[in-house]
Amino acid sequence: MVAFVARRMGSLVAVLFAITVLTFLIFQAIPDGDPALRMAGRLASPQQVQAVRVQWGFDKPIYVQYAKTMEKVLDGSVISYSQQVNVEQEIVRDLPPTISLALGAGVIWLVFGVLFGLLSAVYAGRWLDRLLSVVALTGISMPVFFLGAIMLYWLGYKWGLLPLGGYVPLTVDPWGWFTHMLMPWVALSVVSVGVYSRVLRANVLDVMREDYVRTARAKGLSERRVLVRHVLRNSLMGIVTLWGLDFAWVIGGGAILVESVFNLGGVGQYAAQSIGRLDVPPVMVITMLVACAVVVLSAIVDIFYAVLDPRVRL
Amino acid sequence: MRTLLRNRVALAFGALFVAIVFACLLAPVYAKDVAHTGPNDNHITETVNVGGKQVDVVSPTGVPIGPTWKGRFFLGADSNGRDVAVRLLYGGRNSLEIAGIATLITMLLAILLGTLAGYMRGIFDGVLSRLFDLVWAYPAVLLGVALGVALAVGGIDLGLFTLHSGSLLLPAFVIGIVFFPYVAKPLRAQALSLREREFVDAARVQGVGPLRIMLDEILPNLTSSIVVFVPLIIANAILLEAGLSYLGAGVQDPNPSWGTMLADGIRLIPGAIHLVLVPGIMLVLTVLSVNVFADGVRDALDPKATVRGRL
Amino acid sequence: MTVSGGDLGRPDAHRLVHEPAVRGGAVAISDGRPLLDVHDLSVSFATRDGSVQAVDGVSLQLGGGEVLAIVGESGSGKSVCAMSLMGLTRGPNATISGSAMFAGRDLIGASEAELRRIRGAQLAMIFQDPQSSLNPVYRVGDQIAEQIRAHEPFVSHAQALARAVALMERVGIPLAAERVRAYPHELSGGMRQRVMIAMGLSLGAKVLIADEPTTALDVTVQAQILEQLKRLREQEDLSIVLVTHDFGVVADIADRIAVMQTGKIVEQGTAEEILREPKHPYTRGLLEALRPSKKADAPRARGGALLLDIDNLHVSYAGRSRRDATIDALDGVSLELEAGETLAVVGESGSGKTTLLRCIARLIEPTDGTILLQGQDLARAPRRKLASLRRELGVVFQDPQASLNPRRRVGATLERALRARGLGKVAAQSQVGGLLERVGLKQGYATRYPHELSGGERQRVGIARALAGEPRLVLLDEPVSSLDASIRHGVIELLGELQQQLGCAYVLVSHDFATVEALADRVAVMHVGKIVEFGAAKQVLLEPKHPYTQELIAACPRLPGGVASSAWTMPRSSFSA
Repeated sequence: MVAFVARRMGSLVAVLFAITVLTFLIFQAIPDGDPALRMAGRLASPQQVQAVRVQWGFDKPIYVQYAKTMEKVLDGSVISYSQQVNVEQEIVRDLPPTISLALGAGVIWLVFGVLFGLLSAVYAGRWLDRLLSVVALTGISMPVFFLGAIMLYWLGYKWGLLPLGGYVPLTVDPWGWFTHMLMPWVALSVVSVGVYSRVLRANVLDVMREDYVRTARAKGLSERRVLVRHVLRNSLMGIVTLWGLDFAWVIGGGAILVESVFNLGGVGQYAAQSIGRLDVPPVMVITMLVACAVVVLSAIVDIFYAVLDPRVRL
Repeated sequence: MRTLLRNRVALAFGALFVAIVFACLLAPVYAKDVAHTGPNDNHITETVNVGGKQVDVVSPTGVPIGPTWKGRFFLGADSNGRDVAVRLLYGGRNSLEIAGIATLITMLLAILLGTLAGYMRGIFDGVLSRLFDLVWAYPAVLLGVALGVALAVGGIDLGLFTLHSGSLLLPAFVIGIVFFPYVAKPLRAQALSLREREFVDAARVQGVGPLRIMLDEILPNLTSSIVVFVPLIIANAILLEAGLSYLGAGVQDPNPSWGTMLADGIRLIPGAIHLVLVPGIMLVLTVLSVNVFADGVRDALDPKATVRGRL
Repeated sequence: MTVSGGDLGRPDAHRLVHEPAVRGGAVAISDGRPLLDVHDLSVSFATRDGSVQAVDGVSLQLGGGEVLAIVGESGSGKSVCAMSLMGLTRGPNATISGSAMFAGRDLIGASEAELRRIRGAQLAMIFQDPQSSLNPVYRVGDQIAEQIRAHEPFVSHAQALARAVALMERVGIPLAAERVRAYPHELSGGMRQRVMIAMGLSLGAKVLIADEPTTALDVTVQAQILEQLKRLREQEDLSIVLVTHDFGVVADIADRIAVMQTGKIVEQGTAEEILREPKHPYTRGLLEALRPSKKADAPRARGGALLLDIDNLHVSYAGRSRRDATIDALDGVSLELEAGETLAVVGESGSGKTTLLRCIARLIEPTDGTILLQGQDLARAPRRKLASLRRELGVVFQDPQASLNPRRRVGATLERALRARGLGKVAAQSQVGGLLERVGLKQGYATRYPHELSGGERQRVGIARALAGEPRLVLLDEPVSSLDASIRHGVIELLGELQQQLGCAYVLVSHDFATVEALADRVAVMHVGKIVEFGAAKQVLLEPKHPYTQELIAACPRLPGGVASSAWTMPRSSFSA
């Protein structure tokens, strides 16, 4: 186990490095573009562009550029020139809504995804299964921001059931926090619940055909025990990796799309605004940091999976 | 094949998708003969006859009219006074074109590189696998955003070809690259296991060279996986394009796309909800029809595959 | 059970040592009634293509302390029959009728709750593949403990684990105290199966149903497991229902035999009766099919140049996994073969025999040594030379299912083979028909896809492909192992005929004795990458000198009269003197 963790950590570091290089290349090294101009923004004056060029080392060889970029990112000194703010301070300020969003949604879709998946498997072939399949399929086919907008309009404006967007910190008003987060949570969860229930259903049906389930019955175990300790345990393993991937997706994309609909003021919204303004520094920093966060998260999920499945540790 | 044909639900949705594509392709016809206006034509100061009354296309407070269910402004107007139905069809054309080209790019890259990596192994596989893993590890939307933003400003010049910043091929290129590892990795895994099959050994023993083996032995056995992937990628490409365009990192103004239309509509909430509903429902219907069809294809060809519906 | 070399030289040696211990004719019953009394059991399944009758009116009895073997080929319904006794075939699509009286209850009609109490506690079952029959994510000790605690809820986990350790020792697992914490994938196949047996015995069950328990195991491991079962029968009065397709296993351990065909029992009786004087034509046919055909001692032009001369061949892997589970390596292998002869290479999994074959075919690069084919070194040949050398080489692979490209028609496959030998397109196409006929298939098969052919037919196509262009050397990797017993005979005969007609030499890798006996002129025995014995077939098989060879031959289960089963056996009298 220790060897496995060590190996995983090792490759983690390598991937982190590669991610930063890739991000750097995308933003600074695309052919036929002036990176300084890109960073400074469309409205910058030539002097400003030149200043940027010097600061970031765009007049120097590429590895120097990379070093300077990483230095700035790790220092917390990246500035958005068009907005005149320190990017990383903005990010820190905007973290709470994003974290609330991601974690809350993660819990919701895990619970409901597993629930629907099990129901579908147990009632396989019957109307409940088919209904859930349709719901799942529709969920997968819907853009999250559309779903969010629809909910906001009907549940918020038309029927006034829930607040019209904005964020209330948990520490200030728990109930307010909850009601404000509910719609964004549901918007994000619908997609994943759909995927999970289908995957879990498939897993459960597969596992039930496995030989060791037959052995479990031959041992005289109660059906409940067979289902829980053998079928469920082995079916859920696949969900762990899936949850990790989805959580990564939320942080890496879902948040960006949903936060602006609900005006949550999180990192995602900041990213969305920057994109709209073609303000490059924040986009670069957010992209890099989030990608790294996702990679770290995957490593943690992998290790957790190895705890569950001893075969992987080899 | 026959299993697919027996699956009427899948076929129905497949037909729906084809119908949508067809309708979008006929956008110019609709624009000319039914709506009498183009996708970018601004009618912000005009009025239109609705149920006998003359109504402002866009009210003084900036609220455009909703669906008239008539030839002009069939589905209403947007905040710039443009005909929503016309934009919907043109936007659909763009969105679908981008998704189609992106899928093509993804599949070509994945088939080529996946087969090479899986069959040749060794250094090829080492390098290519690292590449797959890297692009795959990068969250898809973020990568799309990063590439989209970086390229939106200046376009790209790769020597072989140049894409200018207004080109539709740019988002297609971005999306194609973002998705290719999701297909390349499974194809590589399959090529890897096919390589160990005895009929490949039999060919090697006969002295057949690696290129021929990849073409004649490996590729034909990958076709069912490839066919299963195509509609899946199309569905995800449509959604990613919508997302990127919504954020402004995909299709740029004034080109219409379902994503940009949604962005306009969401900005105006709570007014003019039709601007959200129209492109949104269209998106859902299109993607849903592809997904249902994709399910049918998968059932027919490879029932054991548990491919995620959403990448 | 050891065999010393001296015994084997005697003409009646096979009779002396390996007479199966056949019990008395009557059913050994306790309390005057059989332990298990199955009457008119029928099981049918509703499938998409209609109703399938898997078991049709089967009646059997099992007495105390005896082994009842249910023998049949695949599709005979033997496994379904066994599983139905445990109630494992119950389901919405299954219709089960008849009765199976056990411990005063009818298993067939019993409720789930009743069955659950019986399962594991009084009636235990072990399955064919111990790897997939154990849950991979739990330790083996915990899985045994689970069974104990399911029936005796007041036992603590620690106590149950202690009992598990004791059980594991009873079934012969060394270092049980450590192994109890192992995961299934960390144990060998034989040990996993012992764990399954331990589980079966954990609550003192007196009847064990074993469904092909040794089919997935190596021959020597199979011998050990059978020994273990025999010991349990003697010492613990265990009764066993043994489901198998292997008559050798049956002869080794069974007291009574029931032969099944397409769901019915065609013959039933004591082992002695069935094996010596089978009455039903099907049983007779099965036993006949196991008799090896005599290898005609065709006069050979001796003293000619060697066709194949392998010297000090080495293949080492840097720890990469191949198709075999263990790392196959060759450790200084040297062999010789003359034109038109057959060399059989035998050994268990991991011995390196497959690696040897793949090395000769240049599918693997040797790390050292030479392979001279007609004087030219195959091992080091550059590409162009290799291409021309390859024309003298044909390969027949083990699994006909996997060795033909599923997407290509039979005719196309053969055409490519012919073209690879240097024929032009038109010439190749015209010869396809002839090739098919030569292996006993109609020319019309050329337009079919592999999945439209039976296993035996596919293997014939594989042979045709190998023989395209009449190579001088044909390599055969377990050519009949994947085929049903009744078809093997025909394919082996075909191989013999073809060799007579074409004069090609064979290097044959096999663990199937019937094949070896029918075809081999020389035999090489391999063990862990080395050749431990090599010589004329008669010598090696009749008078094995090396201890490993002796162990291998002794380990194989055999039938009375020395008739071969699916594994090794003592040579028939035609070989001696």
